[in-house]
Formats: sequence, C-alpha cells, structure tokens
Amino acid sequence: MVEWTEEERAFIQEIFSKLKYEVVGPKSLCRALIVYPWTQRYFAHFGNLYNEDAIMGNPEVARHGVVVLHGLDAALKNMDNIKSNYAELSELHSEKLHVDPDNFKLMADCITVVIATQMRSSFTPAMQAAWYKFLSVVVSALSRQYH
Amino acid sequence: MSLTAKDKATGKAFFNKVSPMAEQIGEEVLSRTLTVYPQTKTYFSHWKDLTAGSAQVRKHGLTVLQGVLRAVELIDNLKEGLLNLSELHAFILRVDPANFKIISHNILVVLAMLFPDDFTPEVHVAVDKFLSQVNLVLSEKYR
Repeated sequence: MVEWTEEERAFIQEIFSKLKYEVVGPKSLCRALIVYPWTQRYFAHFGNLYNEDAIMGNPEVARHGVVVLHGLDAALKNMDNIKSNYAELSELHSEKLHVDPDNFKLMADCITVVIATQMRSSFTPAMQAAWYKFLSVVVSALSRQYH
Repeated sequence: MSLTAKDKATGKAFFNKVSPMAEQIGEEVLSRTLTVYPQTKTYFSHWKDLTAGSAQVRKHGLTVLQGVLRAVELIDNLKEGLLNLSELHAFILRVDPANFKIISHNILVVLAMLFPDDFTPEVHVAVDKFLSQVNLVLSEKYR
C-alpha cells in the first residue's frame, strides 16, 4: 500500500481543486500527440491528425482529453487504494485498447507540463514531487493487468 | 529522431528568448531534480545544503543550464562540439545516463512554468528532441 503524508494529500487536493478539466485535458492529449507522434497510432479513428493545427483543432481529441483526465478522479477519491480501483481500466487498456504501457508515462509527463503552464510558480518542487508520486502510482496501477 | 532544420530554428529562437533567465531556470531545474527524484542527491553527497534554492543548488543549476545553452550554439555539431562534456560525464562524473532524462523532464516542466505562452507544443517537441540529442552525446563515451 502506498503511504501518503498529510502534506502530500494536501498538495494533490490543491492541484485538483485548481484543475480545469476542459482546459488541461485537451491540452495534455494534444501535447502527447504532437510531442510523441507515435501515440497517434491509437487514434486513427479521430480523423485529421495530420499536423499540429489539425490536432489542436480536432474536437474528438479535445473531448477525449477530458475523458482521459477524468480517469484520474478514481485515484483522487481513494488515494489509499489506487491499485484495486484501476483493475478494470487496466484490463481495458490491455485487452481492448492494446495500449503499450510506456505511453502512460508519456501522457503523465504531458499532463504535468500543462499543469505547470497553468499553475506556474505555485507548482512548487514539493508539490511536483507529490504529483509525480501520485501519477506514478496511477501509471503503475494501469500497467498491472497486462500479461 | 534527428533534428530537422525547423527543430533547430525553433529551439534556437526559444532558447535565445529564455537565456536571460538562465539563473532562475537552472535553480528551478536542479531544485526540482533533487526534490522530486531524491535518488539524484546521491551525486551530491559532498554538498552541505541540498535543499531547493540553496547557494550550491543555485550555482550548479546555472552551470548545468549554461551547458545546455552552449549546446544550443553548437546545435549543428553536438558530437564534436560537446566532446569535453562527453568525456567529463563518461570518465569523471560517471552520472548514470538515466538521470539525463530526469533533468530533461525538469527542464521541460520549468520552461512550461516560466514561459507558458511561448512553450507551445511545437516548441516542446523541438526542445525535447534537442535535449534527447544532448543526452545521447553526453553518454557517447560511457562504453
């Protein structure tokens, strides 16, 4: 089980309280698709991902970015049992979506970068540490059901 | 994943813009590296103060950032241009190359934090590719 200090829990709560899903979600997924273009392999059905402008203007990308970000809610609601809460999502990504789990880390990094642009200097090193730990636990939980 | 002419131009323009803030960027990058990835502190056991923002962190953060800025100037010939730094990291510092990725990530986070409007996805990918090339060159002589 992951141990969280009171300070870490407070940091995570603070980040989520300031998080605008409809802004950070789309921006994060756009970044992943642009900065790590091989991730586009999972989104051939989204239509035009031909260049940066197409990706950033694509409504399906924007919509899905929000979906992905809300995927973090389960971890926020129950930080003491993230592993079991993600069993279903993990199986989905493995068995149905066939996503290489290395991509989870790329997505996590893009979410972090976008949050940094939004929170700026209030995203302190200590807060970043808590956030990195939180995302690492989620990424690990999502990777668990792969076989 | 080599650098295109566009990557180089984008990277150069962006780093020229941000270079006046090298000291602050360097301090933030190293502070975050030591705080978020505590295993990196093992390379600095000879320092008195490893807390974010300490004098030693500020000084060394700037050293690291200046290395990056020098690499930008040598972007057309990183391998030869950074030969001294390659040898330094390989034979003297012997920093595990996994840590180069950590510093690169924190450079991206700090740039995003300090330049949220300029650090567009286009700039992000150019800088990420550039830093990956620098990391490759730095680990060139390891074995």
